[in-house]
Amino acid sequence: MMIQELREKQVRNIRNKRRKRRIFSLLILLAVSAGLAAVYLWLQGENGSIGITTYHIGTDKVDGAYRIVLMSDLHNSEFGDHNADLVQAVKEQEPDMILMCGDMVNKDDPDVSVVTELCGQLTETADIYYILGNHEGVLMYEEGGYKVPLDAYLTELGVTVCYNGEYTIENGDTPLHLFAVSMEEESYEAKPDLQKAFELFTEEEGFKIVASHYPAILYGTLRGKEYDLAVAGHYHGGLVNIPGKGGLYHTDTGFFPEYYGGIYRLDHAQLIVTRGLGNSSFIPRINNQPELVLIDINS
Amino acid sequence: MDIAAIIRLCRYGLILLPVLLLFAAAAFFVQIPNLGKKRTVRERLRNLKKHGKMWVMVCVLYAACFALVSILQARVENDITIGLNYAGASGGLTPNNTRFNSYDIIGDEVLEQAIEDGGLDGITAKELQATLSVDPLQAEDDDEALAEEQYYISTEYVLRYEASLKTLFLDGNQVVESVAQAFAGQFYDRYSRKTDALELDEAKVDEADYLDKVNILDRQISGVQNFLWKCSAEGENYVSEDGETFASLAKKISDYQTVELERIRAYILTKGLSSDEDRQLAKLEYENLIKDLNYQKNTADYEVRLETIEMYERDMATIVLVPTTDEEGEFYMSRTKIAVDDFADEADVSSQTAAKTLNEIENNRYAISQLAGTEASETDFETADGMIASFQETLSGYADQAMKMAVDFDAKTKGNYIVLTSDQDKFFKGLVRRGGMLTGAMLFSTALVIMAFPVSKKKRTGRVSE
Repeated sequence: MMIQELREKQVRNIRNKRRKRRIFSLLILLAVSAGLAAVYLWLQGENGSIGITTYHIGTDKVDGAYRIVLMSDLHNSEFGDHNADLVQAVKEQEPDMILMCGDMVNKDDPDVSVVTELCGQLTETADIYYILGNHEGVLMYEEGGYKVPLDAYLTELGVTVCYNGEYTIENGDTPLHLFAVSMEEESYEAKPDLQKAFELFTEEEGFKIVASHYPAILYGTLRGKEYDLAVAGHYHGGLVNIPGKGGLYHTDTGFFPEYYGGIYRLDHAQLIVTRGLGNSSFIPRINNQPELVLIDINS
Repeated sequence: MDIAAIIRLCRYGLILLPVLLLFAAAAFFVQIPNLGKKRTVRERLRNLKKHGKMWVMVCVLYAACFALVSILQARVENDITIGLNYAGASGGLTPNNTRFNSYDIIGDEVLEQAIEDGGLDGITAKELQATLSVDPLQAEDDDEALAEEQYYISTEYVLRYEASLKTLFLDGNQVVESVAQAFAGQFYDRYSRKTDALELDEAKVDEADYLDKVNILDRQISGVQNFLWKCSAEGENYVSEDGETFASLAKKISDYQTVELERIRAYILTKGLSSDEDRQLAKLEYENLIKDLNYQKNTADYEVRLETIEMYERDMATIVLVPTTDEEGEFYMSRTKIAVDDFADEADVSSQTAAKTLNEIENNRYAISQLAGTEASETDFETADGMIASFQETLSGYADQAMKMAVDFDAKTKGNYIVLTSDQDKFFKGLVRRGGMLTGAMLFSTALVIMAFPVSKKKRTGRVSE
């Protein structure tokens, strides 16, 4: 009798343990699912919203104030219906100039209506200067590619498409000078004519801005040159932002790129690298909210 | 159960009624004693005469009910046949060789058009869609399932309407007619010949720089040519009133393009004409930058493949040589196609692409040198403007001629892409015939039922003779 009771007690214990294990596993599974769902929703929320980063650049080369909105790497993303949220965010800043630093389209998507629509709406707000990135180059001229005449579409809308070279921006008595570099460092080093034009640009009076899609040329070859402000995009903020460490990775630089996003000091100028608005890879932006940069230049 | 099903049931009930009455009458008759006797027959006929009015009333009522139910059924249930009448329909294609989807017949766009044009107020496209179905038309005797090798793509589809509670107030015939007409209208709009290539945007040319003008004109004239070649493929025997065929006009345009456009381009480059030199130079430089990268990539591809072929060809060749004989019985070493042959083909492609890209780069370099190094006069600009204007005028003339020919050709050959066949006349003729037959059957079976009624015996009252 006692043995019988003992056996029954053992069986009950085993069954209880199994039940507890099952419940525990289920709870873990639920917790993980809830966690993943929370992360997903958070990412959706964060990557669907726009953060505005403001930089103030003091200079005596500009009378009064001059406001630039800098955006880059949209990659055909949309914020709101027909980018209504993005347009609204830009309009609210009342900029004097809008600088688009490349990769606003995708190289493998011939539909450029997102960008042309965006530019069509923003030309009412301020002059747009569009620097060409690697995706634009492939989309427009790649052999065997789509050969979309994006520059023609943008020019029709009143956008100033900046290939390579100097552009003067009217600002009363203190015009600004913009030099666009739509090529990577290696290509620039093979262009003596362009280098000469750049040297002439550095001799200009007035506030000088160098804009390129590629930060490497700005903190590389052009690092020690005489200009006031450099702007770039391309690195997407390193995609994943690790708190305390910064951006995780870009194919050009590898892990933990130094200039992943933010403001950096060059020899004579400030370099602002925007984290961009969109993404062109399958890895999502994590802890890396799409960024619209506001640059206030004032005396 | 929906309304259409209820009405259908009523109709079937009405059709069955004479049959049921016939059976009932037979059941009654069997029980009548001395049925065969003349006296019994006379009695029964007298019964019928006695209830004559009722007999006629029942039959008239039946005929009226049948007609009413049939008309109601036509209102809540109707269909129309949509036939596709163009080459490619039996291949499941549209006139422009895209896939034909029969469910487009009841697509949202078509239904919205039908609601608007047919005055089908009070319903949405979704509500209407729920009452419609499209099926390929099957022949009436086609009951057996087809074997796989007998499968074919139907060129006729039946659009069926079965009313729901929400659409009860609509006339079934009007619904199917409206939907079919809307579909036909949209089909013609979508698949009729596109003539966008003949609508030349002159403003675009005016706004562009000189070299870009030439590129735009080149695209425009190529568009007109392609349009004509396409028409020629459809109607190579078509001859217009002025003796032109599509092919002859396309050839004429091609010759004009080759000569005149190149003349304009050469003049612009010789004189270094540009309305915004800095921008044009920057654009050409940028284009050359990207093309140069393409050239380098293709050259590298070519060299890598040559290297690979050199590494593997000798070893692979010894493995894949197979002794065989040709048609004349002569012995030789045959060689199957192997990866090395693919590398050779790829190297060939890379080399050709690189050569083509280099040619484009050289053309751009020449344009850059001409634009940068030449000072053009006012007269040069005016001459170029005149040449371009003249080209545009001639091109516009060709485009108009192509349009006239295409319209004339379509009018003569296109005919009707969509043929709609509605059975409304047949329905009413059928209604009269069926109604007549069924009423006759009802007359007969009701007569039998009345004759089978129990005969009321006459009460003989005694007469007292005086």
